[in-house]
Amino acid sequence: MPDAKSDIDIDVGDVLKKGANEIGIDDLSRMGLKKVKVLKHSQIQKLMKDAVSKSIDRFLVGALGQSENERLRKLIKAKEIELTGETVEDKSGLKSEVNELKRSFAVQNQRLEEAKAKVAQDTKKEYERLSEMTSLENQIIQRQKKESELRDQLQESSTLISELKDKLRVSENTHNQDMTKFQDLERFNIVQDELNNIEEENLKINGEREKLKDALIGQRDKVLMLEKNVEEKNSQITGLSERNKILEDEVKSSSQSTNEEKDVVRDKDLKISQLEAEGSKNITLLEHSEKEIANLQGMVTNLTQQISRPVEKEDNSAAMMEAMKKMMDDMQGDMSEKLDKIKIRAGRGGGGGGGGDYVDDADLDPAEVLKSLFKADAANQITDSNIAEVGVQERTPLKKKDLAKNLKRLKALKDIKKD
Amino acid sequence: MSKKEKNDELEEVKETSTGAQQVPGKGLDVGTANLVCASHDTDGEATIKAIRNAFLDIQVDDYTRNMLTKLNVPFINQNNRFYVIGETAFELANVFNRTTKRPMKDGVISSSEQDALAMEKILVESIVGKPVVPNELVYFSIPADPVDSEMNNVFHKGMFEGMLTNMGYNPKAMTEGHAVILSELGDEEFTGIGISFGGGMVNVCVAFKGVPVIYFSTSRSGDWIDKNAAAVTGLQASRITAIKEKGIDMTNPQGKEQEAIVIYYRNLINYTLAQISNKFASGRDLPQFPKDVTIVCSGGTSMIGGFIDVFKQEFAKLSFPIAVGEIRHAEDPLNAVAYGCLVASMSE
Repeated sequence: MPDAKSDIDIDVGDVLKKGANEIGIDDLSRMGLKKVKVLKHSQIQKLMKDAVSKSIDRFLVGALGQSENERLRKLIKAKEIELTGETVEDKSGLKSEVNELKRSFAVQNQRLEEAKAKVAQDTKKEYERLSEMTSLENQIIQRQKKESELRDQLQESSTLISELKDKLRVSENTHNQDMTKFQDLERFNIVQDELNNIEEENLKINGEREKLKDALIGQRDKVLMLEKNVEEKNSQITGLSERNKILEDEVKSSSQSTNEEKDVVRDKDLKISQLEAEGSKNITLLEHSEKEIANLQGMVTNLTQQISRPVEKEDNSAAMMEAMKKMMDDMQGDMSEKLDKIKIRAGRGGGGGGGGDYVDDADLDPAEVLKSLFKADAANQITDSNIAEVGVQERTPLKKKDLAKNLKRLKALKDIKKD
Repeated sequence: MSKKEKNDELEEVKETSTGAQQVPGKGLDVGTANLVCASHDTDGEATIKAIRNAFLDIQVDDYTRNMLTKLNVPFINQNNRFYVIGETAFELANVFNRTTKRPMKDGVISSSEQDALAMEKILVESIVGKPVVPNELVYFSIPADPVDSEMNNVFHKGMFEGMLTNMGYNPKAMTEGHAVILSELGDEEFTGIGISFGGGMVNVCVAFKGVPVIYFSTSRSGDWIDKNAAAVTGLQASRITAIKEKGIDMTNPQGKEQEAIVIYYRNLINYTLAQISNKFASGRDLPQFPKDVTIVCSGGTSMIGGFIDVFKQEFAKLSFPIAVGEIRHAEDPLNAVAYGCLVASMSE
């Protein structure tokens, strides 16, 4: 009978090796495993090997296992012996019985082979699966291990950082202290310099004080001398003041005579101012007279306007003409000759055109007056002209105007009105 | 013809070039910018003589005096000072880059011009001439009292009366607006509104059958437009005047300058119409106009292109107190006032 176990290519040791992993005690403690049972690796291997063999035997030999196999062998042997001791007639029966047993044995062997193969495959698969699981578990454990290591490292680094920070703080403090010390040192130097300067100044001041002391002593001597002089001067002053009083009395007497003279001068000034006032009055009178002349000039122009109108009502024409005549005589010497021709009747009221009685002498004719004025002006002023030679250009009318028609109608209207 | 013969002819102007006899009676438009004299003859022909109301003092010696005469430049020697008068004064002022002197300002004799009165007499004499007959009647225009200033025309009127009297005329004054009515509204029985847009002032007259019922003037006119348009455009007033005289169509202004001129023209027209309305509103005993009245515009300031069209536009914007039938331009806007004065003198 072939060895079924040798057909199953299973290396239990290899399986165990694959499924096992080494782990340290510290790691176990970190994993929380404080107490463990330790089995030797060889013991575990032996136990697992026996268990696997048993299970294989069970599958290989069926429910009964190897004992069943031996039992059948023994039965076969017993039967074979019987066969040898039995007659020929019994042999054919035993032969057939043996053949049948062999046949059933072969069938059963075949079944066993098939079951063995199947079991081997299943076991192989199972072991592979177990090995994968264990490898995964190992990986997990490895990762956990790494994680714990990293945590430890992190913790260590954090502690290190805190330590470094503390160190840095301390170093900064020391640095600040050093800087402070350095500044203090500088300040100290400055203060020291100042102190040195102050000391020098003190020395100088002391020197000057000594000098001033000496000068003060000298001045005191001078003061004493001056006081003596002052006393002498005071005595002189008293003598002079007495003399001054005498002189003041003399001055008073002389001022009285001066006041009298001032009064005389004042009177003269008053007379002068009076004379000036009279002069200004005369000037104002002169200005007033000039204004009156200007007014009269205006009256003349107004009068000339008035006399050019057909006068129906005039007031005080005689007085106005008198004023005009007077003004003309004053302003224009030449005009007096012309005005002599104008004879004015006193007491005449109204004007030309309708009023009072006219005498035979020359009447006041405003047109004549104006006429004579212009005539005289023209004769005197225009000395040369070429208008007569050149003439005035006639304007050509845009359209021939029929004036006769308009004239006829206008005359007709006037006749109607007259009627 | 000798000089003496020429003078004789001028002194006794009794015959016109056609041989017709000059008829006594003249009309004189005394304007700020121009003096215009209208006269007539027995044929009914009207003769217009006009001269620019300006003068310029110049330096003249014997040589230049003869040159001026040959060039037909009128001048006078007054108190040993030479003056060029009229249009030539403007031309010479441009040549010498100077400003002419104007005897009149804002419609009346200028108070700031010392030689105004004497120069004005010379200018008037140059166009009016000698009277045809002694005490020849001459109607001269005066501005009505303005509604927007304190000026009055008493002195102005008196001076011209004296001036013309001195010349041998019998002067009578009439307002410019009234003269326009007599010149242009004969067909309307001298009923309507006559407006003279002069250089210094605008004169308005509302008449009923030749009788003025409302007459006034305003101080805004051609010079006011020139001054204000110059101010907003940054140009000189003389430049604005030149632009106006060059020709503008108020209905189609071209450029900033023309637009500014048109704006002020519109304002002027609107202002004038508003003053007329105010006068109607404040007036008492005004006649009732039975028919629609006619408005006639005259004067140099109204000569601008499109004036009547713009006038009608501005009129349409207002609520006028009386019914207006027609708005038109005078037949001869530059000479309408002189014609009206002439008609007045002829009717007496």
